[in-house]
Formats: sequence, structure tokens, C-alpha cells
Amino acid sequence: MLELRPLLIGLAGVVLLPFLLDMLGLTMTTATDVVVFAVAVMGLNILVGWTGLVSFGHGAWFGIGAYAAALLQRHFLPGAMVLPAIGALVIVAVFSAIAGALILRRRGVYFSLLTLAFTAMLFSIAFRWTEVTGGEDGLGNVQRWESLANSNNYYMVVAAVALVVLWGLWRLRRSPVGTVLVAIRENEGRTGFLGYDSNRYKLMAFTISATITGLAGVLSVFNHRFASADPINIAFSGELLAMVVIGGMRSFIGPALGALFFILFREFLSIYTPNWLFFFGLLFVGFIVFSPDGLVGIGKRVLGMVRPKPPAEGAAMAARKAGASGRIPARFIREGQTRGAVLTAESMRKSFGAVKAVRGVSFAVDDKRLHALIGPNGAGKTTAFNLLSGMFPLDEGHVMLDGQRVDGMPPHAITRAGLGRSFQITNLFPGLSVEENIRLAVQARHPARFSLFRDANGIEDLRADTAELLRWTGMAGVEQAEAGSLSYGGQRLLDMGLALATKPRILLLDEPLAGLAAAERERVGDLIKTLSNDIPVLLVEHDIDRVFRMADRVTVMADGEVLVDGGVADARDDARVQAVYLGSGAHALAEKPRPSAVKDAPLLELKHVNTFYGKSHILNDVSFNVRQNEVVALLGRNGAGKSTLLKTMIGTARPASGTITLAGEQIAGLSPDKVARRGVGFVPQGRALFAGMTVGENLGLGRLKRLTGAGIHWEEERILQYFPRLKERWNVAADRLSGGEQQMVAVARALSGDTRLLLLDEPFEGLSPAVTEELFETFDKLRQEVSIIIVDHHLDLALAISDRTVALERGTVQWNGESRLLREDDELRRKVLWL
Amino acid sequence: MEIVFILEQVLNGLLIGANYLLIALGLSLIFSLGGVVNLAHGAFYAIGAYLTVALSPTIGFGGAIVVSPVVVALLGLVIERLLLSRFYRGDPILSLLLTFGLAMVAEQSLRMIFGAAPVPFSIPMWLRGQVFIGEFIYSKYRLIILGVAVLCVAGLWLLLKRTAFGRVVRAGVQNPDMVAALGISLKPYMTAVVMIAVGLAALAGTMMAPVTGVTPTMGAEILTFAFVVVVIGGLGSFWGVVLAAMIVGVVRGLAAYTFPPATEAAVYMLMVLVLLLRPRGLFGERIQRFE
Amino acid sequence: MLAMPSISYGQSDVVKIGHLTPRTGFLGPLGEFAVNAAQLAADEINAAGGINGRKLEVLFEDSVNPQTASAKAERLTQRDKVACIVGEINSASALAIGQVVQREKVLFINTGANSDALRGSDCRRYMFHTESQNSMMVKTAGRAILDQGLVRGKKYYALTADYAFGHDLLRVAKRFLGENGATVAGEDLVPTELTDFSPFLLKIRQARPDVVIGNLAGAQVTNFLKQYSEYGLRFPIAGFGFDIALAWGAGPGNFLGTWPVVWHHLVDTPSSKAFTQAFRAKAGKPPENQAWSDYTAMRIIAQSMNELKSTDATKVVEHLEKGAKFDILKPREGYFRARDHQLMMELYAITALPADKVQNPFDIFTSSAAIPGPNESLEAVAATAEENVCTFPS
Repeated sequence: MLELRPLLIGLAGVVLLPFLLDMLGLTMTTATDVVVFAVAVMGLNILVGWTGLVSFGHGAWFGIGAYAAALLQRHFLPGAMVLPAIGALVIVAVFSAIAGALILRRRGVYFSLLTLAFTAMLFSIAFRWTEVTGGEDGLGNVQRWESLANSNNYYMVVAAVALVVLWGLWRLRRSPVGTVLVAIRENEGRTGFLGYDSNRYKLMAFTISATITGLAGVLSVFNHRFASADPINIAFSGELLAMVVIGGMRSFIGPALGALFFILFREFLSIYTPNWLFFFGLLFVGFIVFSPDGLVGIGKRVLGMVRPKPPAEGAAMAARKAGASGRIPARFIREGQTRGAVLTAESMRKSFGAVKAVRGVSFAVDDKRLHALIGPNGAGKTTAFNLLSGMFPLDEGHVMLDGQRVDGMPPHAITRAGLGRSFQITNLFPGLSVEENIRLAVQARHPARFSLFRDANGIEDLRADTAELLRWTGMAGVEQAEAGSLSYGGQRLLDMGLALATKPRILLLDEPLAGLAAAERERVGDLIKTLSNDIPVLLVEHDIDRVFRMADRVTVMADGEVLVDGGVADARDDARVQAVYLGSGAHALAEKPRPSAVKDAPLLELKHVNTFYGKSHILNDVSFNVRQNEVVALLGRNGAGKSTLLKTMIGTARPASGTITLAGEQIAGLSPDKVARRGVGFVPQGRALFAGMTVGENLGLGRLKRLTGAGIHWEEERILQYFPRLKERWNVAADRLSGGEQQMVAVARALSGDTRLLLLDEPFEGLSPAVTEELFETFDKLRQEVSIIIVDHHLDLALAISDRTVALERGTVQWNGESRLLREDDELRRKVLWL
Repeated sequence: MEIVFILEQVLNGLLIGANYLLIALGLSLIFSLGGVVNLAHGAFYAIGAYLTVALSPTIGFGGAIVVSPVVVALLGLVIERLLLSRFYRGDPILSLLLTFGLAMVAEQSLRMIFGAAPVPFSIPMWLRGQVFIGEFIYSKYRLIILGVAVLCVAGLWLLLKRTAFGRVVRAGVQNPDMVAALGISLKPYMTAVVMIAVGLAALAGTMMAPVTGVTPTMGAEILTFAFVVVVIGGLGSFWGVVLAAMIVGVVRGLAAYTFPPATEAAVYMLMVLVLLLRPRGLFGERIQRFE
Repeated sequence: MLAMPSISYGQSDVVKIGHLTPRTGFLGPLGEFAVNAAQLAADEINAAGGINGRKLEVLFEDSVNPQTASAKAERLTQRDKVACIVGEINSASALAIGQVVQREKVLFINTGANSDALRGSDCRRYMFHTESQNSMMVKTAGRAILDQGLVRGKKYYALTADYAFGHDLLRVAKRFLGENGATVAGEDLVPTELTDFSPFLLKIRQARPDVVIGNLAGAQVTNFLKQYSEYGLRFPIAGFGFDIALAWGAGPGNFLGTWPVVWHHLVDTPSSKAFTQAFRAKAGKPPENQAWSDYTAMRIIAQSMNELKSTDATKVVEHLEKGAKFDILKPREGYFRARDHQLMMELYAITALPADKVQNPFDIFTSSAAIPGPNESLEAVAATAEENVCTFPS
């Protein structure tokens, strides 16, 4: 019954409205206006509130609907009402579909600007085209049927139409299309990877929205018996938008409330002051700043104060009934079209600017196999996934999926062709429930996915598939939790569930186990293994032991190329693979002993640091020290929390608890710029140099605000002593430099000013051996000046240069000791780093 | 003669374009750094014009042309600190709605203070007159406007390109987190950018006050075209916006010459065309984080 | 019901008039004049004993836009039971109100909308017009420039606002100028949003006309005049659509040429002087022609109702149609023409004073004598039946 509430409110509203307005001294015509505006803004809210597209030009559709009805009646259908109305709706629908196709080429604020310009253009046409529109005089003499001449009777008709519209919108909101629109608002990118062509849905939303607002225009033209250009004026579009916002765009019926509010406000304030728009503007700004959810939002907050809050979802994951899943039910298995390899990548290449991320990668995934794609950070695994799934277009090469060539297709087409994928960085519809997430994914391949009227929750096979999948993935019991409120591990699991729900011919899973608790890893690992007996899986995973236990085949990538492609044994025994993961132990650099410069005085102390992203607990009670002139290597697998730890230290992520002390001063919770001014230099992964600026300018920015006396003073000469190469490059744009030189600039920039602690995130990534060596030697020299924390997946290098190693595992410090021990003791190294 | 005359219209179009330029550049600047599409930008243009009218009797036009942008910049400071700054990292749609509301409030405030009627204001005597270059006629005042606009564009470009301030701003556009990691707080820079941008809009308003009707709606009128310029040029592309302003001016001039009723429509057609052929604007945009 | 001041009076001891005119938007400036003048008229009428001994109460409303104007007109007639509606400037709003009053059988005096359609295809039995007709404006200014020798055998360049108002003016203007021996040097339709006239100024300069005709509207006139002076063009200017507020808005020195007005504050009759003085005292500036129109309309209603001893709209309509005469602050009395309900009256052509002769920001023009002349019919400049046909729908 709760779902019916908006309809009941609407019914009560149109019944009570005339009495309310009559009491206030307003007429039936004004009551009709309220209902007309309510219809218009509920139409607009399909775009604004549901889909997240803000149209600044919806008045145009109101105006076009009104003109069309008036003109049809005047020229072709004298005295008629129904036919002109229907004709007008057809005209609005066709016109808006064409305009929408053009305007929807851009998204976000650009979409809004285009609607604004579009309306301005239409207004100037309508206002001047006197022969057709009557221009400034408007079109009068619109006729109503004799039986509707009385405004009470007409109100009843409008109210009835409005209720039908309300019912239709209510159905639409609950229909497959309506739910996809909300999904587009939540995360448009992901809808594509479920197989939805989001452009098509947005165009449908645009057309339906425009047509309903056009219907309001038709009702209005019969209400006032004339049409004019005014509704097309930008001011009216702005008012419609204001009604939506003031009413509450996140609420189904809120905009209608906004319409009532607007008309009452205008009617009464304009009696007292010609400046009513001023007060309306102030009110509007007030709502944006203090209650973006409008009146409904305020109401909810007030209710929230009275009503006790529902119990937190904290225990939600615990409520899960994670039993044995068994094999994936047959209905999630897609019949193959061809024999042989299910997915074949041939010589895939992709560059981003100067960075060659994927360089001629080929491999094939066979049916009913678990195929692992492994390699160190930055090897190009995720880029390969993105190329296979259509997120980025290939520069060269091609991809065959189940006998069909899929490269060049958009993601939704590739998904529909049978490729389901999960994401390394969780990619869900965070504001929707777990069940709704899965249901959306299942729905993407259902024949009813374009249905506008069926109740999406009432489609039997959809419900069954959703429930089955929730059970199979072990998420039964948390169906109603908001996806964004799940723990990190829960979100990963859900992400995988989404991929599976598309009934893929092949499943691409990007680190599905990261962030899961130990028992959970075991369970999900088994699940994937079982799954691969029915659906081939291409798996990216950092837990190599597990990969070697599970996989049927392994492709090892490094530096954008395939290193090894073969069985588990081939990969395990390959020296190059071992070198990549464990360090070869033969690296020339690693052989020379590096004298330590450590002074026994603490520089940085972390104590019991805890950091969360949303509800995900990323860092768990992390404590360690860095002494002066000490080099500390921060090691751990992907997702272990290294990046978050760096971010916490530089202030980008705020720790929830714990202390970080730099040279005796508490820096936890300071903003990044304040931390930097206390002598912390940061070299991010990927360098983040400022393009279009010279080396000198980049360094200048480093120094600009950091002449603070906190640490060693790094002026130009001192920097050039360490990076002599930069002298001749001083006036060259940083983005024109080679990778090695860019890395030097990034380090030099981080030092510029006064610096005592240097944080290096993957400084050797993508560099040639010669440059790596040069940088390595530089860092070795730098230890005489500053303390260094280095994160790098080149274990040999990290261990060779560091005095001490802090190993992280799932957000906790799992080992903290001298790097020498790890360098010398292979067994220990295996235990600490090869889990 | 015909060709000469068309050339005259083209040159005149460049003058028209200069009017849009100061406003469009400010819009573009605020958007690039803060992610806010400032629908209230036209309001600052109007406020600049009104201030000029109000101040001229006491401090003269020469004084007003300096004071009015400064006062508006200070107003920008207040609005930026109190309101805009809350919305930089949020949903750009909210800031769009916020500035829409601010524009409404500003327009109505002007109406309340100065009345809805156009306020009389003329070119000061010392700036009147025409300049003849061969067959061509130019209003001396317009040439001065063009000169000031060129100076502003050059100044802005130098500021962005050659000063530490400009480097921080450009760096902030590329990667605000990295800028913070270098010890630089972007807050004061953002405030300064808003002040400069609205100050430029006010300067445009000041300069246009003598040659156009000073009414509360003047801001809304010019803003639509400034947006068309920005969409054509590409939000966040400095030279794209400059070029677009010039093209829009010339297209208007030529349309007025060939088919006057389509003078404004031609600009919109141009926009549609650009949208179809180069959806990211003439030079494209580097900033995609606001889509 | 605190929100409804109108209910606070008993029904019998007041006569209510609804004043409905745009207060916001681009017509707002004129609306300000209208409201001040109507209030002034009401105060004077009440001071003189009201209407049939009953107090006159004016309900002022912002008509906002045509849809709102229509809804508010309905409210004023149905709920507040006003005896009459006065006001409006926007033609579409006037048309909308005309439809309402026709249904509700309430009098409406349009004080500011010019459109020919209101007096022609969309005319209504219950709608009267104190605002002049386009034809009257064109012929008044036309006669003035004919006298100045700018028409016969001369070439004109016409700039016309590209919407109904401009088109209406242009139609009458072309006929008038053609009949009087002028030829076309150039014609341009100007988009309504245009604020920069420089491309057109260049075209005018190239065409070298003998006179420039402006069929422009509202703020466009101000912009055009300012920029015309800026480019130093010296061709004489005349225009056909005008309000004095626009001259004041352009400012002394920018205001040029010869323009028609329905009335101006320098008209030298006793009632005109009294009105100007009272308005100045109230509003701090002289009344503009829009103020005249609303003031006059209010007085016409009060006078008619007092003479009829009735507020019945149908009786007032019949009274007005019979040609009742009124002092309209001009030398000759005015009356409504039964055929199209247009007020028949004299108009004036005003010509800008040279900048060096201007004493204050308001008295910036000289006026022609009243047009038509004392011996002519008042209908001499009004639209003929052929020019604009009105057949009142029943």
C-alpha cells in the first residue's frame, strides 16, 4: 500500500485543492493553473530528479504544446478539443525527439546550457513569427466545448487528466525504463556495462518529459483560451525549475507541491509588492543552500527529528545467509555461438599521450576455463580490461567475442554481445539497494527492458533471477541495504554480481577478492572457481598463490606487454615472472650495499591511524615511525592500503582516529597544503606535472608557498646538484620531456622549497633501466638530506634502497623491520611479500 | 564597394565580439577552476553598468570605469566566500541553480533600487566622436572599448601565462590535489579568480552603459549570448573563447547585412553547427570532469 | 483570511476597480507610471465624493504574463466583483483580459496595449482603448515630418522591430509615406533581442537616406538613439512607436528626431497642468504618457458611472458607445468611437531639443500643435474601417 501513497496524495490533492483556493479567495481557474503547473513540473522532474539532467528550457515544450493545440483548433479542427490536444502531443513528441537527439550530445552542465540557448532561440522565433503565432498579440479565441465552458467542469477534466498522468508517471517510475533512468542518474557509466544504451534511455526520458510538459501547455491553452510566446521565455523555464527544486526533486510528488507553493506565493505576494520576484529569488537561493531537497526534504528532516531512526545497517553483512552456493544455475549461462576460444585479443595497442599503456597484447580465453591475467602494478591489466569491454577505443588490434568482432563497439553493445565485467574501483549504483542493483543488471537483458508501464518489480522471471543471484553470490539478507553503505568487500561482491547478472558468455573480474575478509576470500575464490566450470572467467588478481592454485591458464603482463602466456607451471617457473614479483635478486643495483644515513631521532610518527572511505575501513590501527634521514619502503599488494596511507599522511584523506606527528607537531587532519608547508614533499604516481609549463615553472610552484624553514632549504643550485640534467631542460615544457626527466622534475618539484620528508609513489614506474639506475642513485644521495618513504612494486629496488620496510596487508601493518632481513632471507621475503 | 562594405561589417563584427569577450572569458575562467557555471555573471555586468551611472556624477566616467569594477569585484568576494565556495566540489547542477537564483535576486534588487525604467546615460563628451579610416567609419568610443577589451585579454593572458598567480591558477585547473600537495591552498586563488572574472564583467557593463539601454534585464540579455560564445569556443579554452567571440560578432554583422531578421538566429545556427561538427567547441576542451 | 485585503470592506459601500498591469519584466517601467497615475486618480475621485457616493477602491495587481493576467482578471471579476478592470500594456495580456471580461460582462479599459488586433480581429464589446492606435501614432508623426519637408520626394530608411507591433507600424507607415510621395532607400527588420545597432547604422550610412524611420519598440528605441548619436549620423530621424520614458531613458543629447505621443506633460490645458503638478508631487517626476492613459481611464469610468448613477458594465458600455464626451487633459474633449471602441482624441508630435538647449532631464523636446487640427474631425488620423475591421463577437 505504501507504494500507492503518491497516487492517494494526488487524488486527495486535486479534490481538496479547489476548496483550499476558494477559502483563500482564489478562483477555479487558478486551481486549474496549479494542476497544470503540477503536471508540467512532474514532467520536468523526469529529467531533473530521476535522470539527473537539468533542463533550463522546458517552458519551450509547454509553449509549443499550447501553440500547437491552439493552431490545430483554429485552422483545422474548429471547436474540437481532443483531436487538437492529441495532435499537439504528437508534435511535441516528434519535435522533442529531434531536439533531444541534438542536445543530448552533451552531458552535465553543457546539457543545461544548450537547453538554455535552445529556448532563447525558440522564443525569438515564436515572438516574431506573427503570422503563425500571433507574435506579441498571442492567439486568442481558443474554444472550449460548451459543456466545459464552466470553469468547475473544466477543472474536473484537468484534474482527471492530471490523475491519469500521475498514474502513468507512477507506473513509469516503477517500470524498467524508469528504474534505468534512476540508474543513469546514479552512475551512467555503469549502465553501459550492464548492456543499457543510456543515450536511448535519455532520449526517451527527454521526449516523455517534454511531451508531458507539452500536455500541461495544452491544458493551459484551454484553461485561458489563448496561447502566447511567454511560456517559451527563459524566465518561465526558470520558474518551472524553481518549482521542482522548491518542491523537492528527489521526491515523486514533491514538484507538484512546488507548483502549488509557487502560485500561492506569486498570487499573494504580488498583491503587496511588485518586488515579489526578489523575495522569490531569495527563497530559491535559500532552498539551494540549506535544503536542496526542497519542501519535501524539510518535511523529512522535521519528521526525522520526531521519529526514531531505523537501526543502522552496520550489522547488515552479518545478517547474510551465505550458505553453499553450488554451481551457477543454468539460466545464467549463455549458449556459445562458436567453438574454440570465447574471447580473443589480438595485438591490442593503446597509448595515452606519450604513455604506451598496452603494447601489442594478444591472448585467448577458452570456454569453461579460469584464465588469470596477472602482472605488477602498471602492467596494463586494467587497461586491457577497458579495451576489451569497450571503455576505451583500441588504437590498433582487434577483439573477437564468441565469433563476433567487438572492437569499436560501445560498451553496451559489447556487454550485450556477452562480455560481463567488474571493476577494480567499485562501480555500483551507490544510492540504490543491493537488490535493485542486481535487478537492474538482470533487467538489461530482459525483453521488457524498454517497457514503460510494466511494474519492474512485478516481472516474475526478473524477480526470480534477481533472488537466485542474490542467493548464489551470498548476499541474501542484505538485499535492502543501500549499495553505498556496504563494506568495501560487500561492494566488491556486488560489483561481481552485477557482471554475472548480465548473463555473460565470458566474465572479466578485476580483483574481486581485494578487500574481502579471509574467510570471505576463501568462499568467493571457490565461487569463482566453480563458476568457471560453466562460464569462462578472465581474472585479474594479485594474490599469486591463489591464482596459481585456481587458474587453468595464466597470462602474465608487464609494462604493457605479455610476458608469459601459458599454464600455471609455465608462469610459476618462469624466471622473468619471478623477477617481476620477487625481484630477481640479480639486479645490479640491488647488489651494492647502501650505507644507511639514519640518525636516531624520530621525524614522523604514526600511532593507531584509522582511515575510512565512507563506511569502508581502509586503514586499521596503523603505527610506525620514520627517523631522520631514514628510507622506509612501504610494501603490500594492491588494495592493501598503501595509497590510502600516503593520502592520509599528506592530508588528502582525513584519518578518523590516531595521531600523525611530524617533527613533534601533530599533522593528522591538517589540509594537504598545510601538511606540505610543514616540509612534506609528495611525488604522486604518474607524476602529475603541470602540462604547458616549463621545468622552471613547475619547480617554482613547488617553492612558491614552501619557504617555511621546515626542513632543508632547496634552492635551485642545490636541486641542480642532484638533477644536473634539468639545467639544460629548464625552459622546456614539462610535458615534452622524456619519462625519466619528467620523474626527475616531479621529485625536484616535491623538494623545492623547504622539505624534510619525501614521499615517493611508484617513482620507477615505466622507466628504462638506465634511467631507473640514475634515479636510484639520486635517491641514494638524497638520504643524506631528507627522510624518504617509497612505495614501489619493484621489490628489489625498494628493498635495496630502504633501511626499513613496512609491509601492509588489508589495512594493517603486518611486518615492520629492517629491509636487510628481507633482502637476505628469501624465505622471510616469501612469507612477508608473497602471501 | 560591396566588398569594401562587407569588410567594414566584418571589422565592426569584431567590435561587437569584444563586448561578449570580457564576459565569456570570465565565465570560462570561473568554470575552469571552480566547476561553477555562473548564471549570475550577467548580473555583475548589469551591476557594473548601474554603478557607473550612479557614480559618474560624483567621480566622473573616468573614475567610475575604475571604481565600478573594483566595487563589483568586492561584491564578488563576498558572494564567493559566502555562497559559491560551498559548491566547488559538489554537484555542478546545484551551483547552476544557485547562480540562477542569485541572478534573479540581483536583477530584482536593481529594479528595486533604480527602478525598472532605462536609466539615462550618455558617452561623456571627451570620448564622443567618430574616426574615419578611408571609407570606414568608427565610433571613437567603440574603438576605445575594443582597445580596453584587447588590453584586458592581453592582460589576462599575461597574468595567466607569466605570473606565479597565473601558474597556480593553471595548475589548479589541471590538478587541484597536486597543487595542494605543493603547499598551495587554492582558496584565495579561487576567490581572486572570481573577483577578476566579475570585475571584468562589471568593466564590460561600465563600458556598455553609455551605448546601450541601462535596464535591470541587460544582464540576462547579454548572458545568453555569452554562453553561446562559450559553448562554441569550448568552456575552459582561452583562445577558443576569444576566437568564438570574434566569430559570433562577425556572423552577427554579416547576417545583419544580408538577412537582418536572422541576425540573432544566425548565431544560434552557428552554435548548432559547431555542436554537430565539433561537440567540444572549436578548440575542444581539456576539462571533462564536469560532464 | 488575512491574506485578502479586499474582503475587509463590506460589499455595498465601495466600488472596486481592478488595476492590472505588468510591474516586472521589460514593461515594468511603464507599469510604474500607470500604477502611480491610477492611484492618484482614485485619490482625487474619492476626494470629490467617490462614485455615486461610494468610495472607490483600486486593487492593484501585477499582471506578470498573459496566463497570469487571464487568471487574475478572472479572480478580480469573480471573487472581488470589480466594476471594471483598467490597465495592461502587453498586447497578449490585454487580449487575454478582453476574453475574460467578455465572458464575465465586466468593463475593461486598455490603457497601454497598441496592437491593431485588439481593435480589429480580436476586439470585444466590453473592451475600450484609451491608448492610441498604431494608425494614429503613425499619421501624427507622419504629418509632422510632412510639414518638415521630409516626406515628399524623399527617400526613407526604415528600421522595424521584427514582431507584431513593428509590423503593424510598418504597414501603416508604408502606406502613409507612399501616398505622400516618399520612396524607399532601405528597409530592415530588426530582431527584438538586438541591442547593438552598429551593423544597421553602417547600412544606413551607406544608403544615405533623407530620413530614417524607426518602427522600433521599447528599450530598442533607447539603444538605437544612443548608438545613432554615437556614430554621428546626421540624417533626420522620425519614429512611429514611442513612449516618453524612452526619450528620458536615452538621456539629453541622445534623444533625436520627431516622434508621436498620445500626450505629454507640457500640454497646456488646465486639467493637464493640474495633473502634471499633482503627479510630480506624488512621484517626484513628471507623468509620462502611460500615466496619462491610466489617469484618464480612471476619470472616464468615474465620470460615466456618476452620470449613469450605476456601475453596471453593460450600461457603461452603451453610454460610451453613444459617444459620451470626456475631458482628457487636451484642448478638445475625447469620445470613444462606437465602431472599434478606440478613444478619439488629439495627439502630439514631439521633436528633440538640441542638447545645448536642454534645461533639465525631462523637458527635452518641443511639441507640435495638437493633431488633428482644431477644424478637423478627431477621426482624421484614426484607422479607417478598411484599415482595421472590428466586428464584435457576441
